Amino acid sequence: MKQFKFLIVIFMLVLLPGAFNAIVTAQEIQSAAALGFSPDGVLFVGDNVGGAIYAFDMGKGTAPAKPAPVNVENIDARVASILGVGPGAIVINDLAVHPVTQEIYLSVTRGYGSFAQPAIVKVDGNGNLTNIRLSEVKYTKQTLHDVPDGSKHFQARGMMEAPTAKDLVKAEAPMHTLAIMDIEYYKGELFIAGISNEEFASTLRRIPYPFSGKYTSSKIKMWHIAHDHYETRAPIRALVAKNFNGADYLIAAYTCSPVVLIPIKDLKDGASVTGKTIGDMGNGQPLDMVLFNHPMMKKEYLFVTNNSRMPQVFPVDGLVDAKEYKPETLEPGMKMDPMGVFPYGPLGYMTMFVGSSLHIDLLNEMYFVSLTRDAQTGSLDLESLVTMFPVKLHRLYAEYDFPGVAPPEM
Amino acid sequence: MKQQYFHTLLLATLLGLNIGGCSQAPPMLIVPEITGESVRLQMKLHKTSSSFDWQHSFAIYVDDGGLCCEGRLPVQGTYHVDKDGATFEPDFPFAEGTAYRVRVLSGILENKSDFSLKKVVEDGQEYFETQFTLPIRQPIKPAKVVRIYPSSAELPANLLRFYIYFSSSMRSGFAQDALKLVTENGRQVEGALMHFKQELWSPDQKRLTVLFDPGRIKRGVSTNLEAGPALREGESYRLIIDRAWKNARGVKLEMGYEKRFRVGPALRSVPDPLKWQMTLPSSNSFEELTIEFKRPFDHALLRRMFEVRDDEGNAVVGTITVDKMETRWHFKPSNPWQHGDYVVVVDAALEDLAGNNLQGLLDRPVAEELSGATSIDLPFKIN
Repeated sequence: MKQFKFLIVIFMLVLLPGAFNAIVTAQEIQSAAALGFSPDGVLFVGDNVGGAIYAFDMGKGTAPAKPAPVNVENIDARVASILGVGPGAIVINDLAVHPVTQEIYLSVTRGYGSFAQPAIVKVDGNGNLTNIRLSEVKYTKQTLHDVPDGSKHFQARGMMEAPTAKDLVKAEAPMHTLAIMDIEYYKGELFIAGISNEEFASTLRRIPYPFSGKYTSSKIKMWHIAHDHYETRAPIRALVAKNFNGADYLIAAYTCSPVVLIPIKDLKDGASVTGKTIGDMGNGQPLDMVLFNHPMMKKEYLFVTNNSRMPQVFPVDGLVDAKEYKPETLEPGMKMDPMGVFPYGPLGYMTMFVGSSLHIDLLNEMYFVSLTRDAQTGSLDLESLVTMFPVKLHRLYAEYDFPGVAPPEM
Repeated sequence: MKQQYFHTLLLATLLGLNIGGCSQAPPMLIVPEITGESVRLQMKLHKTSSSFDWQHSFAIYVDDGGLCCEGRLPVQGTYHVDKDGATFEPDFPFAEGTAYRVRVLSGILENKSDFSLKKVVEDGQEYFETQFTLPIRQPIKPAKVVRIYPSSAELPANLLRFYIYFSSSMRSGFAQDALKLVTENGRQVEGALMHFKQELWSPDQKRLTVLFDPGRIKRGVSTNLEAGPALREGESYRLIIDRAWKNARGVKLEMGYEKRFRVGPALRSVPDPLKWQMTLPSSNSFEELTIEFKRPFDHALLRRMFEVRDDEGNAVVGTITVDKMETRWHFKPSNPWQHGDYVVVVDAALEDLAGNNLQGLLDRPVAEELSGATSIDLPFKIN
């Protein structure tokens, strides 16, 4: 019996490390945050920790018969369930919609600290969740050689007085958390907003897809209206590509919150490019930027979400001819929310949004899909909202809810 | 008994025996004992098993103690079906310390009376149910505290941080209870150290950054005025690390630790690099370039905030070491020094032990501008 036990021990020692490793290293991606899609279903995933962009071929698929909403309440708890952990042990980092199948992909961190693992979860048209086994999907990878390493962090600053404890904690965050902020696929290339490891940190990387192993990196400078100076460090938070009169541009949004046009032809390797500041949405941090066709206005609009104010909605057709804001033509001095000066420039209007959208994308021609923190319950929900008016009637009681009152005419 | 059977099964597999069809094997549900293992339903399945919805028929749920399982989503993974049963392999390994509930629809079993597990009925369907929680594994060695920075036995009254280095990954959530600052006679200094829900660990969970409450070190801030500064000049203190602190595998520290230190004057001046003393190497040698400071600096930043460049601005490759209680910096080049001009570029973000950097003091008045330079050049010539 003793010998038998001994054999068992040997067997366990032989078997287990191998089995465990197979699970842990089957995929090499270290983290999954910013997401983007090519028109034919290649999912791009930003790995800030590993400093790379992964391209997973999810297949072209087929389009659903008609545009339909997708709604999943308590999405965080449900994602945690299928990944086999409690609801507090996951973070959803981004979402992106497959442009053909309209399936929604979420980038997720499962577990914390040294146990954190990346996951991609798909939500189909019926609201069913599937963990994508990344080790089973064909992928290619482009390593970024100029991202900050995990040891660089921010400087502490305080409001009205010296930094508080929370300010110090924020400063201790590794700078590579901003390495890859947003991914935009446009005409066979990826445009990656983020930061590099240089002092002139704000960087736009331009990566051909399929990956060739090479990419160009340009430094991006812009006049920040609210801060009253040129900025070269803080990255673009969200961007989209757009052709105006035959020329290609990136429309980029920054924190506190300038909107800047950048001609794509200027993005050459090593170039220092000054974006054209065409407006400022007001203080706060832009989160996502989505182009959509406004069904009533019959025009293309930008929908920009923000962590601090209602989404900003503006037509894109006039942007290329918009006046440029420069120090020479502006009143000097900080321009902040308390002075009531926003928005600057042709940046449309704020639209209602109940709750707080953490991530948003266009689901189809009728709906946005948003990862929303509900204002009343605090739950994290995946919800579909009509693009031209993302209202949630079930959260408001108005005159029209009383018996006998006719609904408003749209 | 169950475990023994499992091991027998494993051993048999190893020896190439086939006991799968062994008729006296008891039907059972074999749950994992460590992370990385699967759930095995060792039982003849009903002949229609190929048409089963496995996610519903053999489901594993995260068990949070609440109502289960209607409306819950089971853990996702792969089902391997064979003639003696089915195995569920989760996409991600079952997490240690998390409770799981296994439910088997009785209708999928050929002979359900063989099964002795608890029965539950939900929505008119009968299930067998069991639970498991993976224990948090014990490592071979308990963790040690390997270094505490700053290493000097005299520290400024406005010290901003300690760094504690452990020999293995540690668990979060213990700092508040396991880390104490006490006076020489053992009285705890209340509110001196900051405690956050999210502790400041390095990604590998081996280094903890401990911050002093900034309110207690900055002049004129309300907590400083009310409670007084945490560290009083001229007195001695001990930073105590309790043995109860657990590492990532749940094992306590090898022993308790403490760092004793005296408190010197507060650092309230901006460091002046022009007062640093450089010792130059000779040409065609691998000698060290040495810079001696007038005060200690943050040990982590000393390794990152300096760059040696040649007269064409190229970075000189070499290794940096720091000694004399973080007051001396050494640079040993990988290639011999050449005749000519060099410069040490010091990032102005270099901080002293009180968080003052080369541009300004940590507790400067808000209106006070920082000095503009983001780096300082210290030129030198090798003859």
